[in-house]
Amino acid sequence: MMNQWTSIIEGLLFMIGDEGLTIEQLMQVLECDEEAVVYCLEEISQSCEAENRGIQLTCLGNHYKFVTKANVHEYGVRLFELPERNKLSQAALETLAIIAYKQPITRSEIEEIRGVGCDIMIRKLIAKALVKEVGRSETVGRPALYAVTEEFMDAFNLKSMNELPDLPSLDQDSEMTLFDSID
Amino acid sequence: MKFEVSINEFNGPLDLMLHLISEKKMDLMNLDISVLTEQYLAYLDTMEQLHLEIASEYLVELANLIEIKSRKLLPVEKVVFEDEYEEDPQEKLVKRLIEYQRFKDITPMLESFYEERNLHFTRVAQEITSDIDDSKSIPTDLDVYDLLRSMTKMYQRIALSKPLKSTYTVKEVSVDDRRVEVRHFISTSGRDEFDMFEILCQCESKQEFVITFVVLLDMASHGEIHFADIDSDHIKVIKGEFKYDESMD
Repeated sequence: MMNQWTSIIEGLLFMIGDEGLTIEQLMQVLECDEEAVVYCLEEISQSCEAENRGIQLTCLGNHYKFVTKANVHEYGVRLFELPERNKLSQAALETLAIIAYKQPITRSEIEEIRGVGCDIMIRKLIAKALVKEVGRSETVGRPALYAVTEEFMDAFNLKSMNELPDLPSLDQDSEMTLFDSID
Repeated sequence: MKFEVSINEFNGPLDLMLHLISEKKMDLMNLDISVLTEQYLAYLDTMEQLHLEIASEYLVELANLIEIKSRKLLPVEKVVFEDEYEEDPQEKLVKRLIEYQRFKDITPMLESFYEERNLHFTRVAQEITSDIDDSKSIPTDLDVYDLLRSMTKMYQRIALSKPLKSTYTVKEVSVDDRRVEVRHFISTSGRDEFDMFEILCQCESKQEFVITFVVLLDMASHGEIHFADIDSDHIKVIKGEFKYDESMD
């Protein structure tokens, strides 16, 4: 049964393409338990590791999907004449970082950290589907709260938000000096 | 102090301040506000000389810096504990700078993740819905603009075939009334196929035209009629299998 499931999952992942499938979705479709799905995914992943395979199984934003291996990129670009992949500006990266680490967060809170207006930037990021509105803050004016999307996790190669690297923290010493310096 | 500047692109006033602090090797924890203000102002001056537009955010922070600096000139008041403790503005600025620095530091790592991800291609999902036969009601190879274009054409033809009324009469037609009329027209004609123009050309006003169009869409959504053969001139309306139930109205 396991072997069958493995082949079915591989087929489904091929079909679904860049949308990917979650473990829960696979459990539902195959009517089997999580353990079996995880086992099969692991099996697919391992079989893709062979050097003569061009695709690999990745998990981005909790969705498992097939992507081409990095060594394909150079040739893929030749084949498709891809436009310069929309690079993210430094300002966009900063804004995304703030939202990712502080979410849910309002626009004015982001602006307080960056010291610049972020209205247009947030709209751009929403248009790129990297950020979404997730509700309203209870503070005065009930401003919108923003958070990053699953597409953000995909775009930044993250399996889940837990994979976000730790923000460099203020070390204890510097904090001490900070308070010492205040008379 | 002579000030030399290289124009980089800064992501706002905090970015600029951090740049000045690191360039002049100032201690963030023991910040000399007057030096920072001087450098900051010099930078803005240079920007102005180069006819670069200074975003208002830079001026806001400049005002903030000057405020902190001027406070230092005032004699220190004995601290009286009040209910509302006001945070020392310099401490607040330093906190913001540190906070901003943390996010600035993390961005190269995120950028590398982003670039790494860009090395992998994915393919778009299989269009599974294409297997479902819905060709009867909606032609799949046309988009909403085709419909829009043919509606415009149709409207032009109506305008041509019927001179504009010179008298103004208010005649309100409800969707329900119109639906009854359209059903009557279809059932009495004894035919199964119509040109949408046949139905729409009976309309005497824009309002009636719109109402009739809504009725047709509504009937199509219930399967009473189907649209087919949409080209730039014609939309064929075909009588559907669905029999309407008068009691439903």
